[in-house]
Amino acid sequence: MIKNFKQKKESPREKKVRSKSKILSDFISPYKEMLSWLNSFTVSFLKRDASSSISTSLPMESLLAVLDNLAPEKIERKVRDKAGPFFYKGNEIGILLTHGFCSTAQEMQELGLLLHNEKGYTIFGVLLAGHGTSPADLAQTDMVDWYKSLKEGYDFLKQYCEKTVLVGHSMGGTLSLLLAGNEEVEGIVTLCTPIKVEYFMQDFLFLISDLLKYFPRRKEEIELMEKNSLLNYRVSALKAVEHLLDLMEIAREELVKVSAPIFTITAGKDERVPIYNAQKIHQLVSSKIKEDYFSADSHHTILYGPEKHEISNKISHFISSLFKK
Amino acid sequence: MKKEIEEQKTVEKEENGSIVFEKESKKNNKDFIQERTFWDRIPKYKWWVTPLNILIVCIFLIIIDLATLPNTAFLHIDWAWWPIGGLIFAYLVSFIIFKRPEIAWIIGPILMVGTSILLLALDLVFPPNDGFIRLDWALIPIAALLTFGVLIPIITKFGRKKEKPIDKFRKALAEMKDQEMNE
Repeated sequence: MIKNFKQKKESPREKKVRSKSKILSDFISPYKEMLSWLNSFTVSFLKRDASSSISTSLPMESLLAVLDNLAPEKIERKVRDKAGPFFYKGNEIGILLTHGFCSTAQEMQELGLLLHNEKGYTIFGVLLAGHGTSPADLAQTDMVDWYKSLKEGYDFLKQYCEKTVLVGHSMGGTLSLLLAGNEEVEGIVTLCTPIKVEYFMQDFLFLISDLLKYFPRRKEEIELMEKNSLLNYRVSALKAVEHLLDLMEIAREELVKVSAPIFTITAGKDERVPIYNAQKIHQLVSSKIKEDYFSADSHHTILYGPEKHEISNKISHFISSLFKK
Repeated sequence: MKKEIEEQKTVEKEENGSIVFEKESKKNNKDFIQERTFWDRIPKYKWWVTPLNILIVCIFLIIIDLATLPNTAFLHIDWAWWPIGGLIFAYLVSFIIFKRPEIAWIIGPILMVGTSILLLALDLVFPPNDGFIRLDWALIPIAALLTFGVLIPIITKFGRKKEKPIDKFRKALAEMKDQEMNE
């Protein structure tokens, strides 16, 4: 290998070519420098780093996302304040709470606190990859990353508890079902969990997501987030939506492996997940104990709806019924 | 798509008798060690340099046009509209492609269709117009532009083979199990 680094003697022809190219490069260099601005398209005013003071204010996220559709932003990866995972140490029964798409662990905290205070369960609220940071961070992750986050949470909880129950809202429920199919769990509770949806133009999402990176969430949803001080993203990263649809496809194939008791909760006014999903889950799983609860007046954000206390009680009742001797 | 490897730093905090985690993602240092590419060697300028220079060139062109006769066209500018339009158009297109290379597959075909329409118009405007569908010379370049610049990029974009999500998931599961076994 050292041989390659030995200097070779230059032939007269090579010398001539080198001197010619030097003259040419000396002649071009001032013009090259002068014209190089043609290749520079730096628009720092569009970038997230230049407007960091604005980006910290959440209602501006939709506007920034529209700008980001024109020029990609700098990816913010720091977890937002209060959005991170939480852990309440209790008895040998562990509850693993998983939030939904574009949401944070904060969404499940109230339920976790209630289960911990009432029954003394050990609670771990997981924060999925790409969530609680920025929509651009979410766009970089996929269903495998989200599953790995949940698995890490499960492994963590296993250090403290012998028995584990999974509770997941929306996409968190889909991930919990996948985990239940591959790991040992005592029971699963799914809230408004999708395994099959039909969104407008979903088959062409791979083309649309190239042109449009983010899509603002509906006004009612944003209002609900503001009302409950939720740290959810105000926009959906379309690349991540593509992976969410892939996750549902995986779930449909893997659900047969689930044999733990299952409790599904459906919202009557759910605008995101059609109510037939709970029925489909019941058809596909191999569990012997299957229960369902229909909350007629609730929307997709079921844990912040009018029947939230009743739903929390139902979940608590189902979990305690699993451990009755 | 190249995924950035990240390292997560977890800090445990005691709050009201329970543990709250504070996660801070940190990019792996390896990501920062990158080879300098051709584009890295080009000096970087503020965002307003290119538009300002284009504006100066446009003013220069207008002055030349106004200084020469006949000055009978719209706003007394006879021919400068064309290079000005071309410059702005080229800047906008390059801006989009540089900033969002993933949408080059749609910007490219739009450009090619535009160029084809221009060639078609030029050929039809100038006689003799006695060839196939009244085109004299534009047929071959238009066919080439539409085939290589429009059809092929769109077909390849639509026809890209994607790994089945279930296969991807099972592969990841197997990797995770292997990792656990090794640990």
